[in-house]
Amino acid sequence: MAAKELRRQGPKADPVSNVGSHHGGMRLVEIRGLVRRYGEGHAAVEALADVDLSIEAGEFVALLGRSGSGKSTLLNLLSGLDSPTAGSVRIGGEDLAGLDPDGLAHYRSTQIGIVFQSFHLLPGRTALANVEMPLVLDGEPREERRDRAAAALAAVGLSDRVSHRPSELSGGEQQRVAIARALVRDPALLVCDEPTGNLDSTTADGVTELLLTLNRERGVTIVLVTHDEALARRCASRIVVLEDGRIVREEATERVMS
Amino acid sequence: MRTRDILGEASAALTGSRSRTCLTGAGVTVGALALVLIVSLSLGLSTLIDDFVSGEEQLRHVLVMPGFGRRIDRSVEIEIAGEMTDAKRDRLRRALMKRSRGGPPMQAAINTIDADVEAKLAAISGVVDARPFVQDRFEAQLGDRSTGNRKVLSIGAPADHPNYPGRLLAGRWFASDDEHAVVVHELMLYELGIASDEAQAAVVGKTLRVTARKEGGGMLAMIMKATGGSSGGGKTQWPVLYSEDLEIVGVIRERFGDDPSTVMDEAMAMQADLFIPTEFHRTLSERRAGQGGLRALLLVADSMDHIDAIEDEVRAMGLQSRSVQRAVSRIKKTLDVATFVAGFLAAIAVFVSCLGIVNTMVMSVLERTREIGLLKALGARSRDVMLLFLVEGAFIGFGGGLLGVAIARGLGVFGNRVGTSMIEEAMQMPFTGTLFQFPLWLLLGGVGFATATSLIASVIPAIRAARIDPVRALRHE
Repeated sequence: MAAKELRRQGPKADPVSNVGSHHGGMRLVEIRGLVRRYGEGHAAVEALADVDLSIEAGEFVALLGRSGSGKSTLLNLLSGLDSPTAGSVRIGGEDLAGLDPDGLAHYRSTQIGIVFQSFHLLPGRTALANVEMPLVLDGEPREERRDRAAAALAAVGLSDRVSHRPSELSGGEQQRVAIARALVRDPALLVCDEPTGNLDSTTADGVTELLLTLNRERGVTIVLVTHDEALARRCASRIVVLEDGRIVREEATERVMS
Repeated sequence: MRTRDILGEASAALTGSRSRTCLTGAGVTVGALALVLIVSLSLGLSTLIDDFVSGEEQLRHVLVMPGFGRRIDRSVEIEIAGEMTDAKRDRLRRALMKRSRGGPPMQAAINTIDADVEAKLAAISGVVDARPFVQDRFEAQLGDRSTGNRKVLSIGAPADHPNYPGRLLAGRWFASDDEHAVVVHELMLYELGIASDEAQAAVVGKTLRVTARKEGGGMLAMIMKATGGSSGGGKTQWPVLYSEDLEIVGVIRERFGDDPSTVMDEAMAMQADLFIPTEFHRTLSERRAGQGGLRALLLVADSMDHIDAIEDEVRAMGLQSRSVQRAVSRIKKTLDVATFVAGFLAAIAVFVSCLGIVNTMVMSVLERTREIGLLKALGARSRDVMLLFLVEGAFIGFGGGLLGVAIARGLGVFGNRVGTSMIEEAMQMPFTGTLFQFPLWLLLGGVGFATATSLIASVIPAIRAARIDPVRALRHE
């Protein structure tokens, strides 16, 4: 079963204007009674315990917590990379548990953009080829994906780095390439796992500013996983604090950065 | 993913680790090279055999010879003359028997090819022609020159023989099968002291006297000596059966590589010095008491399909049969077995190279675990990942196979040159055949086989890659 398309129509007509386009006005993510347990019996570890969470389209939510609190597990479940022991994850009303492996792959390809702490760029490929990859996997024609990848790179300010390989880019530039790759399919949701964790403070500020811009100006729904409360308060409109696999606090924030 | 993109990604992955790809491909190259060379040599040899018996007619020949039954104990017939004890007489007789080694003199053709049998053979269903083979040995005398005790071989040759007239050096071929004539071999004339072309041509029109003596040699010679048979000058002189004067009508030369021939004819005519018209030769042979019919009869079948049935019928009559088709078939079967064994060894080489591919692909999966996890996180389906690795394996097989076939082709050219030179030197005749043959199907098949086996070798690594858990893979260092 394929994931329901949540993107707005029209990306092929104007790839630039549709990068990270706004999806506001609806409940995008609905998590109910989510449990993720690893192992069995006495050795069982409960990474997530009865988590309920809703995210509106256009929100910028920070999942805050110490290492081992379950925030990355929640992100994996949200991304369709992992399956819950119990409970449900609904994206745009569709339960991910109802998707077969191909449906989940399509979901990851079209509905979710993932930004990793360590960038995870393909080392032998140019920035353009890296950004193109989700479109390649989705079978997009060569010319169209070139245009869309170039537009995504332009959107993160890397028009002049199209032909550079990761080794020729700074850490911040690499993370921008990763963000462009996550946005190139115009996903409903952008999940960022410690996106500034491997960057110096100046570079990190630049990446944070980019995420804020994407959320504010293009209406991209963002879930940011971080252990840095200051970062969370700077950019997220809502903070969800996880502790031992449970949500212990939720609060709306006044963003510091503008 | 689109097919084009899968091919591109697989190609990019292989060029990303050139050394390993090249080494793995080299294994496939060696396997494909060995396999293609062996098959090409087998094809070449098979064609050579076919060419050797060129002409479909030869494959329709069945040579019939008298049937030899069980060994006949002729010891009781051997007379040991002289005064001696019975024990000694018996011991000498047994010694003679022992020294005979059970050869032809101890066996009798109990089923001969007489006129009745010849007629029956000619009437076998599927037989369109029956050509008698007549042979004998004579002393030959030309004027005052004689072969002496050395008997020369004569054969009966038909007036309409397709090949012999082409080898005439002087004179003519027979006008009919019962002509009272002989064609002599230039070598016999040389041995008689007539060497030059002019001198040899001058013998045409002269008379050659042939003298048949009672069968001798081998066992009988020993018996003659033991029984005190007549001898002269230390050599046994056998009683003369008859002499005949024949007009020499032509001089013939030996057959060499390029001369047209048939296997059966050449088997019978080998070392023949005298060619006598068939029917006339039969009348000569019939004058030899106890000859027991024809030495052989060549049956020509209407179709190769009937050879087996004809041979079965011949054997049912208690006669021996030989056919080119069966001989060729046996040689080819032997060749097939040899090819199979050699091919099996080459296939082991391919198999070993496949193990190399498995190893390479497994290593590649391990090294690219994080990349695979990333692709899956970005939306790659398991079958996309599996296809990627299968295509990589197929590429290695295709590239290695292509190179192997190309090298085999090159070595084949070299092998043909060396082989041709060796054959020409060994056989002292021009050789225009091709030892290593590379039909298109072999070239394509070699590449296809290497590709297919590599593809199969990639299945397990590809499945492993497809099953990689992206969450764990992305944590993989």
